[in-house]
Amino acid sequence: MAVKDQFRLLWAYLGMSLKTLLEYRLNALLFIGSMIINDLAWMLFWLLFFTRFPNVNGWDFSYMIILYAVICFSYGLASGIFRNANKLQNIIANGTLDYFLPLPKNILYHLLIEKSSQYSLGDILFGLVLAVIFIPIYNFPLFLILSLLSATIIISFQIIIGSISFYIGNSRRLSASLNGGVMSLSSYPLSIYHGIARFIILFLIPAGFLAGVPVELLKSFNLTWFLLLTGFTIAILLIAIGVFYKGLKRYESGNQMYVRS
Amino acid sequence: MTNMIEIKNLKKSFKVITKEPGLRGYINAIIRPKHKIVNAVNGISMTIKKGELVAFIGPNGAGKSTTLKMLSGILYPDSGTIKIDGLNPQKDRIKLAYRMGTIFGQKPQLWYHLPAIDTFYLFSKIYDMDPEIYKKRLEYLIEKFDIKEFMDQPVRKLSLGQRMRCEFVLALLHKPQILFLDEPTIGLDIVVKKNIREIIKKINKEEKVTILLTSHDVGDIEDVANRVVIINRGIIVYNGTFSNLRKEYLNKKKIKIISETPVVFNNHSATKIINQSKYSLDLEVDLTKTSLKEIIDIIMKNNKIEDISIEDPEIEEIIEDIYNGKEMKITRCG
Amino acid sequence: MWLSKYLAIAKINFKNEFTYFWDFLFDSVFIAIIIFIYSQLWAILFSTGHYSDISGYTLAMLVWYLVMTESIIDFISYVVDNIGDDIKQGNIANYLNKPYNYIIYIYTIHIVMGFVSLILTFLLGSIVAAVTVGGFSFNFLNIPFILITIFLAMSMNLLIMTFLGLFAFWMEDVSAVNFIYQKFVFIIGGTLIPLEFFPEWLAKISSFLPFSYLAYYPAKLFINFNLHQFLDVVAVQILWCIVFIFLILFIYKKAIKKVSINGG
Repeated sequence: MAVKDQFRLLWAYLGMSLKTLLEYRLNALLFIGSMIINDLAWMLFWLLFFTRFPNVNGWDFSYMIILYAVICFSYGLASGIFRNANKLQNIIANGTLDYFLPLPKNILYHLLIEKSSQYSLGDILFGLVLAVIFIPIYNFPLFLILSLLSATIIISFQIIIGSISFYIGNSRRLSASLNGGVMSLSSYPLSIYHGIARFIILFLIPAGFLAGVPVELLKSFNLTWFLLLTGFTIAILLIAIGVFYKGLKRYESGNQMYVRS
Repeated sequence: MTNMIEIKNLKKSFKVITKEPGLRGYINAIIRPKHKIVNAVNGISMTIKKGELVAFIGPNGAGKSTTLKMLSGILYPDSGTIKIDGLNPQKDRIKLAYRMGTIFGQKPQLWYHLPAIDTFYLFSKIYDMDPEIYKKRLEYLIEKFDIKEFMDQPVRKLSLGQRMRCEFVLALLHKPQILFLDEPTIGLDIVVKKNIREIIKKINKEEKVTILLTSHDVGDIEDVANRVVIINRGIIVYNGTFSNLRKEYLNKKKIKIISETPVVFNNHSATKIINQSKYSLDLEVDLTKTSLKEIIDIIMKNNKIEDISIEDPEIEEIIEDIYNGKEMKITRCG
Repeated sequence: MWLSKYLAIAKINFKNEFTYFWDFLFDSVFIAIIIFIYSQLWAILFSTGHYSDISGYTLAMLVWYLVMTESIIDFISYVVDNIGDDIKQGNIANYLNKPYNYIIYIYTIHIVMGFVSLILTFLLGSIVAAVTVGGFSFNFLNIPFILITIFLAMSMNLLIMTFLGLFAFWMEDVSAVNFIYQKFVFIIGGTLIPLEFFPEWLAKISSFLPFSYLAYYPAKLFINFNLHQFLDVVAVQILWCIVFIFLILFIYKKAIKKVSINGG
């Protein structure tokens, strides 16, 4: 019963966002188009790179294609459905959070689905097309599952980073930097990192689990790593929810510090 | 239970970082921030009965937005209790949310680029309204608020007045028992303001909705509310009807005279000349120091009066004085 | 006179921004992460390929190259959005008949913020570079020249972004335009990878476009100073600045026409 209601709510919000997008049709195309251009540009970049440097440490252009298929698709899903995860720090710092508190819905879920990114369709399309072309059909279901897990990790991480705003008042830029940084770290092959850096990037900042691991699993499936990925996803999601609600309690107790000059 | 809202000894304070101006101030704020405790709400108690229309006024920083936030479940009090329709906003947030509606004058809830009707639909989902009930309710409200003409246009194309009417429809969609209006007429021109005030009164009477409204605009209160609560510096300084407010705190009157002969008047310790020209005189009389009769006698003795009028002070002035905590005495006229 | 007025405005904005000192710092965190990523990328490249240098760049030079490009480019991608907002909200109404004033106003504010951002980003980036790849041979006497070309590069960038921002008079939302522009600068402008690494045809196209003068050339001069090249670069930068000033004025006049016809 409650789950059905949540879906209905999500559907309603997606409808609103789609309608808003279509209000300005030209603009919509521009957004979607520019995201596709962006993704294509990166593909071009890597193509040129690997033309110049054919074989680097065992990874090549085909690796990058799969990496981008996963990342674009999962990031598109994340920003298409739970857009506000990326903007959480703004919502808190601006006080927009207040809008959701008097409403009879689960606060975190409600605020996450309230907006959808106009760029997301571009990413989703691009990722899907890459996947359809370059990933063998038998692996497609795996691709979808891995992308879902990846999207969940992205959203969870953004929630944690956005929740910093509960504690330092205005973490807009810090959170934006960290979110951007993690996505960047994820867009490069895991093997360029080694030692402590690799450990951090894999477990603490989940860049490795976000993209690197799914790509490896698509190239050659390994049950242990798949279970690790699933476990990690669930763990980070639970942590994210916990961090948010703890921060929310703090917010509602009004211990937020305001700076007055 | 006839009490819709019960507030007992509500308190809330904030820790604020203060920063000195200048470069040194910036650096100090980072290295060694100085804290100050601000008692935003310092022990407020009041009850609001079902169906009342109460205005909650006070200057900026008085604590009224903080109080309203605690009522609508946005902030938790440090101490004290709140009961709305028997529910605790902190513990029964979701349950209460179904019974409550809010309009924050400065933060519209209608989606800007889409027609109002779309946001109505969205909110019907937020409040889990049965589609049939929603349809009927919407038809009723559309007619009541006369929005049929423009509810299909993008909200950004609507005038402020039209937008506000739609905001009210939105807030009433789920048939709330209580409505919190925070500065509902802010930024609106006088005609629209009057319109909105009528709407608020109408809702209160016909829908039997308990309404708590905050405002800076005294006109909102004068025309609309049956009860006024004035809050200043975190405490309630007045809680009663509007007419009593006028009566109890009326200790000044304005006398305006037009004379056939050049005006003769010596200023008094109890009077203040506001305006004076050859044939007219505007006077403010302090009724704590003298009586109206005395002053009028003096004027009439020395002047041949063509026209005289006696006015109450502007309500703003009364409230201004209360804000400033002036000593108020109950006085009598005449 | 007007200079002091604009400097005063810049000063207030600067103070305003300095309140968010941490914001500047945190913006740089992202850059530091990028620099770290590329230091790892290049390191792997160099070790597997057993290179000592690629097209004249050693490993250290490549990373420091990135430090410089990021420091110059990063500064404000929100100029375009700011101008878009100014137009949407009508703030620009005061400046409608004084295009010079508006341009100078935007310019002064952002160039100051740009330099602060440059310094902070460079500091943070240098730390990452020094830790991962160490230093490179740099002649400190070249600093004034480098500063000049950086200043011109930032001015170019600002002028281009102002030009793009003015499209808000015609478009609902300029953020997509800004987005695409940033990508162009990144990929064709040689921000991430020096143009020498690109195939001939791309490098040639790039040299005709303004993008490479925004980051690539100043960074190249930083890594490997050459007086002759410096003079060439500066000349082209000044040329592009003039071109965009004219473009801005042209668009501005068109915009005014549009506004007076439509009533804003």
